[in-house]
Amino acid sequence: MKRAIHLLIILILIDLVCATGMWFGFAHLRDKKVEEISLIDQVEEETRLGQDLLSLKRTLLTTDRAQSEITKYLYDVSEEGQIKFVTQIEQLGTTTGVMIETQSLEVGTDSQPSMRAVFSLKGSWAQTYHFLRLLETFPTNLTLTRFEVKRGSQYIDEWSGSAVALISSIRPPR
Amino acid sequence: MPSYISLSSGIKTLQEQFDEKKSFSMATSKEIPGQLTLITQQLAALRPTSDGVGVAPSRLMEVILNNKPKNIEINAFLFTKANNAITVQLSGVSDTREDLLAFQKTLQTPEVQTVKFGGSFITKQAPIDFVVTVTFK
Repeated sequence: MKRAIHLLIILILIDLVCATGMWFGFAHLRDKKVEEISLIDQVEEETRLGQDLLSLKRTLLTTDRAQSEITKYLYDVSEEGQIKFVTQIEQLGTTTGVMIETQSLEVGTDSQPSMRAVFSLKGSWAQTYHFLRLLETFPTNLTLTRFEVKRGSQYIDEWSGSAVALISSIRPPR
Repeated sequence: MPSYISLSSGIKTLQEQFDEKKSFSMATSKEIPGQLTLITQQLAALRPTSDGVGVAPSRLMEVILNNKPKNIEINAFLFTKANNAITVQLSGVSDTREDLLAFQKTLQTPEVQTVKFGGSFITKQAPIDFVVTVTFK
C-alpha cells in the first residue's frame, strides 16, 4: 500500500514537471509566433517604403532633362557663369540688330547672390524696342532697374542708351 | 521541438530580410532629400522677386507713345526702378502748348502718382522742349 502511494506521488510529480514543461514550451512558442507576426508586418512595411522610395528615385531621375532645362537659366558667380550671361545678352543684340556693349558686371555679395550688369546699346527705335521686349521676357530672374534711350538726331532713327539688369537666378551650391 | 526550430529559423530569415530592406531604405532616403532640396532651390532662384511693381518698361513706353498727341515728339526715355517705385522720364519737343497740356492730361492715369514737368511750359514759345517725370504708384 505504502509503495503504491509512493508510486502515485512520483507519477503526480512527473505529471507536474511535464505540465510545467509543456506550459513553458507553449508560452515560448507563442512569444516566438508573436515575434514572427510582428517581423512579417515590419518586413512588409519596409518593402512598401522601399518601393515608394524607389519609385520616387525613378521619378527624380526622369526630371533630369527638365532640370537641365532649368539650369540653362541659372548662372553661377564664377567667371564662366558671368561670361555665359554676358554672351546670352549680347546674342539678343545680334538677334535684334542692336549694338550691345557690356560696360560692367558686378557680383553682389549680399546674402542673396546676384549679378548687376550694365550694357550700352545703339540701334533704330524698332530694334531697341525689340531688344527691350526680349530682355523683359528673358527666361531668368532678371530685373531691369534702369533703361535709358536717347535719339541721336531729330532726322535719323538712331537711338542709343544703356540698360542696367539685376540677375538673381544664381545657381544654388551643390 | 521541431516547431520551435522551424519558427526560430523563420524568424532569423525574416530578421535578415528586414535588416536588408531597412539598409536599402536608409540609403535611398538619404539621397532623395538632397535632390529635392536642389530642385526646390533651383525653382526658387528662378521665381520672380516680389519687389512690388511689376510693370514692364516696354508696356509703359507703349502706353505713353500710343496716347501722346501727334505733334509731340519724344527724344529720350528713361525708366528707373528702385525701392518698389517706378519712374519714367521723357524728353521731347512739342509744337504747341495745347498739345503739351493734352499730353499732360493723358499721362494722368489711375496708375500714375505724379506728373512733373521740368518747368512751366505756359510761357514758352514753340517748338517747346520739355522734360517730364512720371512716378507710378
